[in-house]
Order: sequence, then structure tokens, then C-alpha cells
Amino acid sequence: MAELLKIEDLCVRVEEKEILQGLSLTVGEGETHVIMGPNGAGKSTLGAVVMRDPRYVVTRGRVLLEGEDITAESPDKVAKRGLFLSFQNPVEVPGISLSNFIRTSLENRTGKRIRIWDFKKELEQAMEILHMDPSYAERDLNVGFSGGEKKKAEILQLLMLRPKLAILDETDSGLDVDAVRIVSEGIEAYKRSVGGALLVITHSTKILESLQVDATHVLVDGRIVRDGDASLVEEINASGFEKYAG
Amino acid sequence: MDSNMDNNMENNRKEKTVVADIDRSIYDFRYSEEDAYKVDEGLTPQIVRQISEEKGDPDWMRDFRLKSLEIYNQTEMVDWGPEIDGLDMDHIVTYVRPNTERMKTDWAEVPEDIKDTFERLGIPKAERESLAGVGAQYDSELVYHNVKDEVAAQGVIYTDLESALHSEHEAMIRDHFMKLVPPTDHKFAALHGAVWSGGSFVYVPPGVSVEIPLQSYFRLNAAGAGQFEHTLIIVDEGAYLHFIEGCSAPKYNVANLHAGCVELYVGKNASLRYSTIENWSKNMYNLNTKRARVEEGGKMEWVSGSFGSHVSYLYPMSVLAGEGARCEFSGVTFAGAGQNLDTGTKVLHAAPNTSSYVNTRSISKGGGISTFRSSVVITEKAKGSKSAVSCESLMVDDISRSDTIPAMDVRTPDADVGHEARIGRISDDTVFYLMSRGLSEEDARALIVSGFADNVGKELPLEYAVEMNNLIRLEMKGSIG
Amino acid sequence: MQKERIINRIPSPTFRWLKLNGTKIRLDIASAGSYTGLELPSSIRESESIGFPEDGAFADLPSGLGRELGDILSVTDAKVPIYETDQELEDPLRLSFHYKGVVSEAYGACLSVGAGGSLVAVCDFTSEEGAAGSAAALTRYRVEAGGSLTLVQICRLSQGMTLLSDVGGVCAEDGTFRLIQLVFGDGEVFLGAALRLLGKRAHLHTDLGYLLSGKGRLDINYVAEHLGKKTSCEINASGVLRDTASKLFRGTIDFRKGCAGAVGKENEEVLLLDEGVRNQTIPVILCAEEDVDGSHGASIGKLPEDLLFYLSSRGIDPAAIYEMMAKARIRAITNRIPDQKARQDLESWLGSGLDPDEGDARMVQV
Repeated sequence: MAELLKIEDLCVRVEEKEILQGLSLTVGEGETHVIMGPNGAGKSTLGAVVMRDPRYVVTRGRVLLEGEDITAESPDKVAKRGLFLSFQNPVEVPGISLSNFIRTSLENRTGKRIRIWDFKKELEQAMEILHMDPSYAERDLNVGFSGGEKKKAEILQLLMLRPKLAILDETDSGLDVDAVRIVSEGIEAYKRSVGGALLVITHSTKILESLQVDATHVLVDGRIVRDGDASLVEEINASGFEKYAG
Repeated sequence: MDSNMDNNMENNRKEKTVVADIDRSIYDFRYSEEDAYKVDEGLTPQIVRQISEEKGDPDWMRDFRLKSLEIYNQTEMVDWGPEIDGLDMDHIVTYVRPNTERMKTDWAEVPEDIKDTFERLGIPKAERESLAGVGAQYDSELVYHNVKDEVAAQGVIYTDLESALHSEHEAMIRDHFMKLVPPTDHKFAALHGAVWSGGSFVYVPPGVSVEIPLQSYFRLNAAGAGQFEHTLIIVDEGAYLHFIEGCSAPKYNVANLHAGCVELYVGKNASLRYSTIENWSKNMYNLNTKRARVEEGGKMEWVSGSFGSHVSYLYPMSVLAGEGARCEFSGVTFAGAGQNLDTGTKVLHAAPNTSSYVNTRSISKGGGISTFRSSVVITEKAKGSKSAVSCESLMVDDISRSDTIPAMDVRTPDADVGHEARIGRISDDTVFYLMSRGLSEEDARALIVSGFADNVGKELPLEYAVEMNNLIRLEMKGSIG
Repeated sequence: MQKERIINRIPSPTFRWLKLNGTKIRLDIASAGSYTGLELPSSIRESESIGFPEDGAFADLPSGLGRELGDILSVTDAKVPIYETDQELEDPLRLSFHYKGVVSEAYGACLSVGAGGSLVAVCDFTSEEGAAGSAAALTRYRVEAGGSLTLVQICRLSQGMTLLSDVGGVCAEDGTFRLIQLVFGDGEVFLGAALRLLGKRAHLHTDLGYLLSGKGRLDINYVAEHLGKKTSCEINASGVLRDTASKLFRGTIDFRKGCAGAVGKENEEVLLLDEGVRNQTIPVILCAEEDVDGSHGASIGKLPEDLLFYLSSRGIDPAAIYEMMAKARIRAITNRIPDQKARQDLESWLGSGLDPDEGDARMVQV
């Protein structure tokens, strides 16, 4: 399996605090990796840094995408390379409809004009998979959306933008059982249609039940302290993170 | 009978454990006015010359005073803010020299009654508790001054401004004096320039970190005396200083004026923290001007608690003059009965990548009026600057007033300016919760207000935080007249 | 020589050197103005005002621009209509003003909504290329118990034109007043609005949107007066400054003694796009009543970092993000215009492409 994402000994600082302290990780094409860890370990930081949030400063190490060093690139450039981040707390943007926003993102990503008819159809289908009311398409992006609806809107974007690698940051947090199931279906649909790689950041495991996990990594105090396969998820579920705590 | 007495004593003990008692009346004493020398009332050039001669000013300072008087006479009063009609400048004696020779360095040699004043205010105690030094002003004249050995050994100059003017530091003072707050700034700055008297001078050499806070006190005594002390602090490159200014004055029948001036120069990569609890008595007109200039990479921190005075105009200002300069301002203002406190802050971003952070709280009670007034100006040169201002106001009853008047002027697109304000009342839910845990309603409300003032409380040295919380509790319990 | 006046005075003046306590202008108006277009909903009652603005029911109403401007109209002998209804009118009242050539005119109108009635009034101010001069539009309103009035003013004026709009009025118990003002272009626009919430639970909502370019100038003075118990207001201002445009926003929420239970919110967002722009903001809360909840927020300059990152993470480059957000800011306000025709006219003028079948979504430079 070709290497898609490679993180080498990454150290990251935000607002004068060192969060990641030498993190290394490799994700192959189409693989599903799970990052677990206690609160404050640096999981969301990892997602933000790979997606190149300028507020996070890399003090050491590199991030490579398909062999190319993206450590200093801007987020829009890495997005164009095929990276996607599903945010834990997506911002609200009044004045832009969800539909228009997705269309604009697609146009920017592909550099091509999108045909309205095809787009609308595809959007409708994707919204159906996620059990989203069609009226949400014309609503202002995330404005007044409940937590669950915001997460669905993120997964909707995942389905429409078809990235090579998607980072899902605590996608199941704050969701009820039904919503988790629906969001999982959306992620599965993405895997089926795009076959992209997934980096699932979570501290609970509800969302993993329907996914084929290739590797699990435990992140504690800014470092990966244990790697394993799918069975590691069970182990964490049973006994928690205590034995890995610093 | 006995059991009643026991109960009372029991209650008193309980009181004392809950509220560390500072009896407000210790501030209300004064001594007979056997002051050695008084300048004539009224403000004429002759008076100003007299003052200058008395102090043995160098020629340039005398000329500066006279020029300031001219500016004072030509300058209009402000047409906004609290009324200061109760101030009759013709009848305020501007300068009084108390019954002692110039500055003493040793506490033991200070005259008894003056020493007693400061003993009762707790200064020696404070010194014991490792404050580096105390500059105390009694009736416009610096009486007692002591610089701890370790501070002097680091090359730190801490002295009264007047004697510094007659020393090898004269040139440094001339380079800085009223350059940051010129007499043209406003009418009371001009007054200050003409009749200033006493105050502290601090110079911290490059790279020196003064671990212990330096402190100054001042108070009024003679009826109708004005306070015009000038504080000049220069923190050189890479140095650090924490300076504490705390003051109190007893009550009088005649209006009292405080038109002091504080000029702070924070050098490249230097850092200065200036903490104040202003607790003037409730007939004072507090028209104070404080300004800091911050050079490249420097940092200025203001910690300000305003409790006393009848009328206050107080807006410590930070001029961010060098790239990357930063300032932080934490303030709390408590306006009670008969008080009109107009306070806030001003920030000028005049260089790239500067940042300011302002957090203020204000409380209005018993008919008091509290106004938060601010300005944040970002010039064209201040690219990449950030400013965040947050002010919260608490209304304790329905006879008081609280106004919030912030202004922002942004002249570059490459800036990030945010502002938020909130006003409301003490939450009934919170009061109920605290009462359900055994507090009386009065104590619950006092505790809530103390918590509200925590933005400043947590920045002050413990002793001051305690004093501040005690003040709040006394204000809330209405035991201050 | 035109008379020098100070307009848009803020109720609580502050540091003089900031120069925003009021605005000095030179202004005299030569003649009465008239609308270019008028559409009245059926069953609206029309009458004529005597002695505007000090006319009976409309006397003693507050003014944002300044009450002394009343003389501007009286000098011109303008006929000032009163439009009244106590029914819930579906069709809006439309007024349009299209200025040409040399302009010096003033217009006034009173709007009155009786108990339980509702009315939407839409005013459109445009100018021909090369039009130059000053125009004033003074509006007074009353909303009786449970009534609802929405006033929409859209200003699209070019360099050389000065427009002054003053809105002043009062809401009785459970009455609602909604003000939506949109300003585009590079003209000079002064907006004053003094909105009194007199009766219990009276409510006020203002939305201001602007996109200024060239040497455009916008100078605003909003005052929300809370007199009645449980009154509420929401003041929103959102806009974009480009080229060397400038804007001064004064917004005052005034909680008077007795308005227990009142809630006031004010929010301003300004996007600054080019060197040479200038933004001044002074959001004021005056409070003489304990039982209130007042808040305001302002965000000026660059886009918030979390928003930038989110949009950037979807592949949109920084320049495109700013263009998109400039558009979004305006659209958030235009979306609130309750009259579909006015909204669609405006959207197509902006070239916003909200209608997906329109295709290219490019912001028209005005």
C-alpha cells in the first residue's frame, strides 16, 4: 500500500505551550487509522496541524503528503491536494448557504466550473444518505444548526468533496445514538465510493463500530505511546488510558 | 444575660473569621495642622515661582512650571464626564511642607507623629513582609524613603523625584519629565506641570529584574491641600519591575484635589507591572493622568482597583510605540453612594504587531455612578495588531448608574480588533445557591461582587487582594458612610 | 454659504480628540423633494401632515440625526404625507427616489400602524451617474399596541451625492419596529435613527449592511431608548469597507430608569479590505436600571482566525475567502428583507447568484 500521509517526529507549539512532542505516524492509501487518547493529549492538535492551521507552530519534524513536504503549506493548498478535516466545532457563517459553500469549495478544489444540475442531484443524494432535510441546503452554513446537524453537514462535505484522506475530529462527540449511526453510514458511503484514507480522532469508540480499522494509535501527552491493530480499540474500551498515562 | 454576651462574642468571632476586619475608621484620623509653611491660596505666577524657589529647582524646571501655568490658564475644561463644580481652584492650597527636614533614609529618625500616621496605615508591617522599599508622601512632601540594599546593589535607583532632580540623574529626568504627558494634554496636566510636588523616581538598569515589588504611598492631611505628586519610572532594556501604588486619605469638609501624574517608560524587551488600589476618601476629586510608552518587544501591565474619591477621571494609557509591544489592563471600579467614577483605559497602537488586552469590571451601588470610558486607536503603521477589550458591569440596585462608552478607531485593514461588553444584575440564582449553603443574603451578595472583581484580585499581591476584598465587603455591607 | 450644522450627536459625548461626538456638515436644502415612484398597498389611508415634524401624534418623537433638522423641511414647504393602517397589510408600501443632475431636496413622511396592524415600507434611493448634491429624507413613525412596522431603506448612490436619512419613532405595548438599512457605493450617507420603546414588551430590531467603495462615507447614529418594562432591542451592523472608504458607527442602547426586565443586544462586524480604509465604532450602553441584560460585541478588521482556517481547509484561497465573506456579510442582511421583490431586485443588482441557475457568483464592483 502506498504511503499517503507520513508524520515524522512532529513537535507543535500553540500559544507558548508545547502540545505535540515528537509524534510519528504513517497512513497508507485507503487505510483507516484510529487515534485515541485522554482529553488534552493533543488529538485535535494533530488534526489541526496536518490541515495546517497557522495558529499551530511546528517547532520540529515534518508532515509529508504523497511524499511531498507540506509542513509549511497553507490550508487551502493542502485541501487542494486532497486533505479534508471534519471539525469538532464548525464555525457558523451567515450569508452563505450550505449548498453554495460546497459548490464553491468544489470549484476551488477542482478549478473547474460545476454544472448546476449534476451538483444539485449529487447533493440531494448525499443529504439523503445522511437523513438531512433538503431545506438545509439553502440554510446559512451551520447557522442555528444543532450539534448533530453540524456534524452531518461536515460529513456531507466529506461526501461531496471526495478527499484522498479525511481527518475526522471527534465526529461522534455530542451525538445521540441515532445520529452516530447515521454519521457512520455517511462515512461508510465515503469509503465505498471514494476509498479514501481515514484518520479518526476519538476518545470514545461508538463511531468505530462500523468501520474496518487498520491501525490504532494511543496518543498521550503529545506522543504516540502505543500502536496496535483493531483489537487495541477493544482493549482501551475495557481498561481505559490509565496504563499509558505519563 | 451571660448567654447573650456569649452569643455576641461568638458572633463577633465568627464575623472576624469570615471577614478579616479592617475598621474603616483608621483612615479617618488626622493631626492638628502645625505645618511649617503654607503657600498663599490662589494660582499666580508668583506662587509658582515661590514653589520653585522653595524646592531649589534648576532653571529649566522653573521655566517649565511657569510655561505650564500659562497653558493651564489658556486651556478649556472638559465638556464631558462627571461634574467637578465642587472644585474651587482659588481656594486649594497647593503645597504644604510638613514639620520635618527633607527625606530620611532611616525609619527611626522620622518624627513621631508622622511615623505614627504610617504605622497606623501599616507601612512598617508591609516592609517587614518583603516589599523592597517605601516612598511615602505626607502633605505633598516625601517624608520617608528607604531603598533596600539588595535593590540598590542591582543598580536600581529608587528615590523621590525632587532629590533626583538635584543629583546626577537630572539629565535623565529632563529627558523624560512630562514628555509622555505634556502640559498641553489637558487642563489638569497643565496644573500639575506648574505645581507638581514630590513623587517617586525609579530607574531600572538594563537586564535587571527587580524581584520584590517597589511601593509608594501618599496621603493628604491639611484641609484643602492638593496632591500633585509625579511618578517617573524608567525600565531599561530587558529589565523587569513591579511597582505598587496604594493610597488613602481621610475625609474633609473642603473638597480635595488629586491631580497626580504617572509616566512610565518601558524599554525594549522590558516589562513593567503597575498595580494600584485607589482608595481616596469620598470627598476627593481624583483627576489623575497615567501613561506608559512601550518600546519594541516591551510589555506593560496595569492592575487597577478604583474604590474611593467623590469624582474620578482615570484612564491609564498605553502607547505601543515599538514593534511587538504589548499591554494588558485589568481594572475594577466600585462606585458607591455619592461617587461618580469615570474610569477606563486608552491604547494607541502605533507600531506593527502590537497587542492589547483589556479586562475591566465595574460595580455600581447605593446611587453611585460608574462609567467605563475607553479608546483603542490603531494607526496605519500598526499592521498585524490585535486588540481585545472586555468590560462587564454589575448593577447592585436600582438607584445606581452604569455607563459603558468604548471607542475604536481602526486605520489599517491588517488588524484584528474585538470588543465585548455586558451589563446586568446580581443573579438571583447565584444568591439563592450561596444562601442554600448557609450564607446570609448580604454575605452572598458581597461574595458575588468579590468574585466579580477577581480579574484584579488575582493579579494583586496577596496583601492588596485581601485589602481590596475587605473594601468590597465593607462597601457591600454599607458600613462605610 | 451653506449653514454649518452638527448632526448625529451621540447622547453621551466622550474624549474630544476622537472627533466622533457629532459630525459637522454644511447643509441647506433648496426645495421639497418628491418621490420618483410610489406604490401604495390597497386600503392604506393617506393624509397630510401639518407642521411636520412637530405634528400632533408625531410631535416630540426623538431624532437620530438631530431634531433641529426639522427646519430643513419646513423651509421648503414640503407636503408631508401620513400613511396609516390598522390592518395587517400584505403588500408593502414602496417609495423610490432617483436623483439626477444637481440635487438639493428634502422629503418627509409619517408612518402609523394602529393596534394589531402591520406594514412593510421599502424605500429605494438611487442616483444617476453624475448626479451631485444633497438629499434628505425624514421619517417619523408610531406603532400602537401589538402593531408591527418594518422600514427598509436601500441606498445606492454615487460619488457626489449626499443623503441624510433620519428615522424617529415610538412603539407602544407589544409593538415591533424593524429597520433594515443597506448602503452601497461611494456616496456620502448619514443615517440617524432614534427608536423609542415606550410600552411594555415593545421590540426593536435593526439590521444595517453596507459595502462601501471609492471614497464612500457612512456616518451613523443609532439610539435605542428603553423606557417600558421588558422592552428589547437587537442592533446588528455588518459591512465591508474597500478602497479608501470610511465609516463611523455610533450605537447607543439607553436603559432608562423603569425599564425593568429589558434586554438590549448590539453586534457589529466590519471587514476591512484595503489600505486607506478607516473604521470608527462606538457602541454605548447607558444604564440606570438594575434589572436589565445589556451586551454588545464588535469585531473589526480581519476575519476571525477560526473562520479563515475553516474556509481555507475547504480549498478556498485567502483572496477568494475575503471576496466570499464580503458577499456573505451583505447577503446575511439582504436575506432579511421581508419583501421578495425588493430582495430579488437587490440580489440581481449585486450579481449575487443566489439563484443557482444564475451560474457565476461574482461580486459586482459598485
